[in-house]
Order: sequence, then structure tokens, then C-alpha cells
Amino acid sequence: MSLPDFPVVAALEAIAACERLSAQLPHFADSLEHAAAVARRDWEGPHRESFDHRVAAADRVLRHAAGTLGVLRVRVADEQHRPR
Amino acid sequence: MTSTRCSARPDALLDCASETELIVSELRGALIAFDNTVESFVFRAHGLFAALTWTDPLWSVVRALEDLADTVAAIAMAFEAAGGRGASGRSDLISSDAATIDRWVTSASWRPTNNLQPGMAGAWAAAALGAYCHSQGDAGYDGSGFLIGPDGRSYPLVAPHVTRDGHRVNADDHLVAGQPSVLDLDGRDPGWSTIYEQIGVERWRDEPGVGGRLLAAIGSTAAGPPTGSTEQDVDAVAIAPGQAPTLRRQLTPTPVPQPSPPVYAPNAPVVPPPNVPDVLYPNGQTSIAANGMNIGPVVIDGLIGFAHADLGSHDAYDVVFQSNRDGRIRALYRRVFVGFDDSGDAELDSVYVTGPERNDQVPIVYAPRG
Repeated sequence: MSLPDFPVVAALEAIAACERLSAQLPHFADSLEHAAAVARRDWEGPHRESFDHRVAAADRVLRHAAGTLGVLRVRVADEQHRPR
Repeated sequence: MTSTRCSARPDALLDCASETELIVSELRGALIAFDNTVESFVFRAHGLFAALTWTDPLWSVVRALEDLADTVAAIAMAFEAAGGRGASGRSDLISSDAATIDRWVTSASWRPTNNLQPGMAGAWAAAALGAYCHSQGDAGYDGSGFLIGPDGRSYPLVAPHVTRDGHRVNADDHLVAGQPSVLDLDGRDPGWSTIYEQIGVERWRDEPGVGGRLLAAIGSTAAGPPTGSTEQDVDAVAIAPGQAPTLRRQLTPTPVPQPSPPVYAPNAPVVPPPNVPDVLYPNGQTSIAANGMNIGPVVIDGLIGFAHADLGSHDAYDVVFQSNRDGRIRALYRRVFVGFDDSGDAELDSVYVTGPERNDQVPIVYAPRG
């Protein structure tokens, strides 16, 4: 049961937004991996190594954020049961 | 001293940069939509201040990927330059030492407008023309100054011209391979190849300070508020080698109010009033209040001029560095300005920059398309 002044519609929209973005982020990570694979063809040298580190860092954030959004979704859903 | 070798295919790196830019664009759109929804919820559930403190950590990834795309594109251009642009294709595997690539990557921050230098007439002629004498009336080069290139070399700035069918032209438009080019004086000065090219938008004059704005304000009181283009207008200019510039989108001039009419401007009557035929109009406006009201429009024009003094300070540019088989080097520095005619239509004007002074420029007439 939700509290009387709780914005239920906004909360449901926020939950849906979390789910949407959570589903999109792995695709962004996959697209980045594809772009990186295109560059890596015959690319050798120190710039390539630096590139690999930066791609890996971005990939980690994108995939980790997908999980974080799941937590955020739960928090939004939990808000309506919190005393105000 | 050891050198680290590296190799890459420029087109593969450019493809990667393009794909990454696309990812950035889509990710940005997704985050904006997400943030709007979450901010709306936080605002309704916890109030304005809670909504303001909401920050999305994913924006750091957007910035990181933007930076990554820029870096990869710069490295691609560096490999292309290291391979001798034009000597090898973008799909070729180019090997170089890492220090050379780093130098070219650094050159991405190089801007032509900061690297102009004056030159003595003899020095310019010796550098630009060498042992040749191409200025023969119907074809030749104008110039006087030099451009210090990203590689640190001093390139003479040239503005070529040829006469075709009695008309003097300075640049090609939609040049077809194998056709005579203005750049080699229709074959009179062959052997040029491009080493490096940079295309972009630049500020060609400093942002006006208070003094400059005051001068613009004073000018506006007499000539009306200035009209001119913004940096966003100039960003719509498409420049490509061997082509006249075009606009990528339709432009509308920055709205600037029309010059204010004077408050009191009565026309003299057709028939002068009796007994006072020499009366001056407007008559009777000698009070402080009336004079103050007459000054009002002048002040308004001045304020508008003050605010719009920076219009027209940007241009689109294309700078090309070339070398010749005979050892000469040169730079062609083209600027394209955006203006608006009386009906509000955008107009493009091109010039070759030939030195550091404001009048060191040659207006460009493009050759009719073949």
C-alpha cells in the first residue's frame, strides 16, 4: 500500500526508465567492443595499448551500471513504503 | 636511442572513431531520457533541492567515449600524415615510429590563425617561387607572409590565380581529376602534392573588449546595429578540397532590432506657416525632457551595438600544406565568411590569407564548374 502523497505514476515511470536503460547499456558495451575490434585490425604499438585500456574501462562502467540501475529500480520501488 | 615502431590502417581507425561517435550520440539520448524521468520522480517525491543534487554517473562514460573518439581520429590522421598523405591510401597499412605519430597527434591542437608570420618580399618570393617565375600576368601567385606548420616548418602562403576566357579565377570548384587546376596554374607549375590538411572553424579576431564594444556601440548610433554571423552559423559551412564552400543547412540571421527611429521627426509642412517662413523643424523641442527623449533611440542603438559587437568574428577555414617535387613547400589558407544580405539570405565570401595583417587577403573567385 502506497502513502497518500507518493507520486506513484512518476515512480512507475522511473522504474520503467531504469529497466529500459539497464537493457540498453549492454548493447552500448557490445557496440563499443565492435568499434574497438574494427580499430584493432593491424593496429600495433603504444597507442593501441592505451586504447585498449580506455575501452576496457568504459566497458566496465557500462556493464557495471546496468547492475546499478537494477539497485536503483528496487530503491524507487521501495520508496513508496518508506514513512514520510 | 631506441624508437618504438607502430602501425595501423587509418581508415580502420576512422571507422572506429565514427562508430564510437554514434555510440556517444545514442548513449547521450538514452541518458537524457533517463535523467528526465528520474529527475521528475525525485522532484515530486523529495522536492526541488533533491532533484538538483541528482547526478548521473554515466555521463562520465559519455565524456570518456567522446574523448576516445577524438583521440582515435587524431591518431588516424597522424598515421595518414606519417605515411605521406596522398602517397598511400587510407586503407594501406602504415608503419612509423611512435614519436612521429605523437608529434602529428599533438599537431591536432595547432591552429593556423595563431601561426601567421610576416615575410620580406624577397624571402617570400624565394620560398614560394624558387627558381621559377610564374607571375606572368595571366597566371601566378600573390602572397607575402608565412605560416608556421604543425611540423614547425615555415610555409609561404600563396594565393594562386589564372585567367580563363578573360576571367581571373583563384580556386577550383568541383575539380575533376585530370582537368587543369588553378592550384598548379593550369599545368604551368606542376608537381604539388598535399602533406597535411586541416579544416575547421576559427575565431579570426579576438573577442572585443569593453573598448571594442564601445566603438561598435558608437558606430551603431550612426550606422545602425551590426549584422553578422555567429560561430554556429559558420559551423554550417561545408568545405572540401577542390570545391567552393556550401551551406549544410539554411541559416537565418541573428535577430538584431532595426535602427530606432527618432522620437520627434516632424516633416516641414508643404506650406510654411505665415509670418514664420524660416522656422526650423522640429520646432519647440528645446526642453531637457524632449532632448532626452530624442537621445533615447540613440542610446538603444548603442546598447544593441555593444551587445552584438562580436558577430562576424568567426570563419570556416581550410589550410593545405603542400610540397613540390622540386623541393618547394607552400600553404594555401582559405577562409570562408558568412554574411547576410538585405533580405536575410546567407552569403559566403572566401579569401586566401596571405599574411598576418587584416588586409593580407585575396578575395577568391571560384572557377565555373566544368
